[in-house]
Amino acid sequence: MDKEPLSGFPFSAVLGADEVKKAIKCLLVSPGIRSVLVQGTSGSAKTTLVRSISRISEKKVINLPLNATEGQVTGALDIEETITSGTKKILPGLISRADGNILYADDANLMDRSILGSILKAASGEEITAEREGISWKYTSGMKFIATMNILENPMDEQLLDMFDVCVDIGNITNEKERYEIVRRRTEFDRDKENFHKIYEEDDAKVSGEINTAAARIEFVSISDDLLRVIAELCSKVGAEGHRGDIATTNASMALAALNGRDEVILEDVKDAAKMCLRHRMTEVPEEENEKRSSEPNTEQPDADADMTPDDIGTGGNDEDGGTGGDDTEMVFSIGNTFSVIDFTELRSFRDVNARSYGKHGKTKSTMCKGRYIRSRISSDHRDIAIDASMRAAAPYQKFRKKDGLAIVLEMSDLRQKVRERKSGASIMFVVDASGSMGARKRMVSVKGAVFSLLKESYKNRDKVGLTAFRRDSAEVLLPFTKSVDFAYRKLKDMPTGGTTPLAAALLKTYTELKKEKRMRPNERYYVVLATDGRANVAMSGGDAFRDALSAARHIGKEATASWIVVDTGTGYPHTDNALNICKELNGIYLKLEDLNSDGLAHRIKTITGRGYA
Amino acid sequence: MGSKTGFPFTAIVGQNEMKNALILNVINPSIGGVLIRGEKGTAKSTAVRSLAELLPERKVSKCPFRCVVSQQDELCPYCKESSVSGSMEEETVDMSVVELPLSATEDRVAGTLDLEFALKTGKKRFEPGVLAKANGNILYVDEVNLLDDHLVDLLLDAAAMGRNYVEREGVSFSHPSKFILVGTMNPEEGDLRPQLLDRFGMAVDVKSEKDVDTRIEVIKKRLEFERDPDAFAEKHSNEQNVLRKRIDAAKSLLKEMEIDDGAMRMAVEASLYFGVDGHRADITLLKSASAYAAFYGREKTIKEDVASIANLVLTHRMRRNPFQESTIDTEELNKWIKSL
Repeated sequence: MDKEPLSGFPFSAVLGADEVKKAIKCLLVSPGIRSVLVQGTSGSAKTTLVRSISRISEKKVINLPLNATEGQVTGALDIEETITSGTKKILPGLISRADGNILYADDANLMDRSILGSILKAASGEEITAEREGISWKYTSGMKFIATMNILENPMDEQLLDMFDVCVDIGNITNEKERYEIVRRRTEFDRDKENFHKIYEEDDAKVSGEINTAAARIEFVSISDDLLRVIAELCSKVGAEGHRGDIATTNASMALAALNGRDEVILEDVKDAAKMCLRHRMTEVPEEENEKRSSEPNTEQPDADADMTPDDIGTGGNDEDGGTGGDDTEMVFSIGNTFSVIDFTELRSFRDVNARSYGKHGKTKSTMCKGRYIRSRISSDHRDIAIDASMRAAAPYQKFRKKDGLAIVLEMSDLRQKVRERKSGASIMFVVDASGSMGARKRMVSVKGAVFSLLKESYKNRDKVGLTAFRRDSAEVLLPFTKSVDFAYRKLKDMPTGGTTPLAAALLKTYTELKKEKRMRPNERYYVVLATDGRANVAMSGGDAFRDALSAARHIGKEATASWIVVDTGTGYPHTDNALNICKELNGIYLKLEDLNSDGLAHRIKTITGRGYA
Repeated sequence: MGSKTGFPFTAIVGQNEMKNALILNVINPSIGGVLIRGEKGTAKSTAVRSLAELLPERKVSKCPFRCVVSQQDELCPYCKESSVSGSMEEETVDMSVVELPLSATEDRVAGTLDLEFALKTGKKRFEPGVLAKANGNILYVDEVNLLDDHLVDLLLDAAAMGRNYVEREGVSFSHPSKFILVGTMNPEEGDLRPQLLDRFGMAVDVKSEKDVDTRIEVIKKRLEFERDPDAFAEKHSNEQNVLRKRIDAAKSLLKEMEIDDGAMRMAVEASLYFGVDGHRADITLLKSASAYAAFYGREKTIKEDVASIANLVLTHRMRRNPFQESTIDTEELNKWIKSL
């Protein structure tokens, strides 16, 4: 316990966050619980709590910096050793160094996907194979992994989310007294750490003892078949994909039983465990099931565990849409005729947002040691070494260097780094007006047809696509950016139409979504295809709906986050210039629905874009 | 930590289609591999990794590429040299599962200049990469749909030629690279490039078990394994041996396999009926059907064998349009099989 002397905050002095503490204890007790994700807003003591683990356990908490490279995490060639000794040496990564301890990552949702994937695989006990930069090796690590994420930032990739055994929410303390107490403790800690530790020393020792006893007990804990059945039923009821949820819930139940000093799991343990293990694995309950549930209440659960509905698991369920109330009728239109489309990514908007990065398949310089090796450069950064170039650089000096039995002597100054090039794709968000007015004269059929045609084009170019629909009083991201165009197609097909037009909300939602994405992947080119007739009738704050939309558009148009393409779906009489005006504010490209068809209409686009109306 | 005991193949609960597809590929490597698509957490990776224990032995040269001595025109440069001087040496090794991680760099996949050798001797030498290790083995790519395009290109080239050609960093080299390509993916995360999809002989879609009793069985097996991996492996060692022997037996049966005329007709009809382009599907249908017959200890492939494996071979080839619903296709396929 002398590893983290007085710098850390005592575990017991952290107020609240009971579920997180419980999860941490499970992680320390159960060999089967190997990874924990802590969700919360910033400043909610996530880090303080995790760091304080070294006060209650022998395990060390090893910090993983957000900008760690693949090599630092999984291991890399130790260039200095290699050159001085003449044999290849591997510099172990954080995963190997954390063996037997706890690896801790802040803001895991902002990490590189493949790095986080390797960490989670290693934490789950899988063997890691690395084939990088001239070396090849395999290893396993007995480490455990704790990560935090800010729920206001990007969501985490679902595949990775599922790999966390446990996911808990740190919650927010709104009680005035408790908030006061938190501030008081912190101030006291900052003033006199030594004294502060003395106060909580005993409590921390108690927790530590509790964990040690439970860890010794856990191998004797058993669970009945009846409770296993409860777990299996619960998991399939909340729609947890795969079997990781079942297994994690079982392991956590056993850990909780051990922590409570029992050798037998009881229903209470299962309930508590399910809250921690299934929250992040719940999928939306399909709509047919919603209807079924409302039409035949309480017929499905005759068992003693009848109170274990998905709503028990914290996040609750289906508050949106509220059934079919309201007078707006809702319909799902089929996808209309498709056609080959003009390549709108080639078009430039009136203010060229990012001039040099345009083009069908833009290339960006890759900094992640991935991509094609195109040439080498001199760099003080000694990752991803270009061996051939380095040797060439060293060649002229060989005569004068001390050899020590080596044929070639390299010095650090000879090292050249590879410059790699990687294709960067386009990310296209389709924002579709699904309000009632779009249903008139089956306009939605042709809009879906048009969007589908655009999707087909994206499939060919391997773009990323997303789909946002707006109607009634809000805009909803039906599909965040994905490479699965197929999935987007299905979402589009099932998208219902009906209700009012919250255009301003849709613009802002799309804008924030893009900002988030851009922060993660700044090298991508972003496009938004907005299909609307511009007849906004839901204001953000009770004012004029269209004026709201215009000012939102103006705000967005000032920043070059993405290129906007507005497809005016307003056909027939009377025609308004609403969509056109929105487009002007957005600094976007304006197209009519029929303009999208490339057959014979390409020249019209030229005239439109050539004329300009900025 | 050294090598640890893995979860035994025979202890995986359910998922029979996936297990069959893997076994048939081991029996007949020329089927062309298998793509396993499915929900997260459905033992996809576990199944592929656990296959290693069931793989048969092979007699190969002692070179780094494990050349097959009888295939004279495909030998690597080292073997060619020793073949001329008559000093070629052979040994028996187990077939293995070679993993291609997503984070792999191009030089490690294709092979590159041997840095250590160059530093010590000042001479150039080729250092084998993943494509060399994969020769004669199973090449496994987890999350294959997320593999970078430039790595997919390398993979496609090698798969098409059965050989890896390297021209880079001042090295010029080529060696055999024939492997059974096994990929796993979650379709929600992105589509697979059509050229790569075509490379897979078979495709299976896996879902988590819906039946509660089966789910309980899954949990129990996992807990038991986690508690004591070695004891768990010991408990299943008998089943594992039986299956391994059955695969070996099937491999020898396959050498003498006779294909019934009705089976051939059916393979052709199936491809035509479902509008699958090219002849690769017909041939793969017959190869898979033969492996299936051999696995069931028969010396003759009949049309029922083709019907049994048709969905493994045809499902991913029927989707000519990326947005066609594959479930409808499967229904149609099943209907067609039943109608025979």
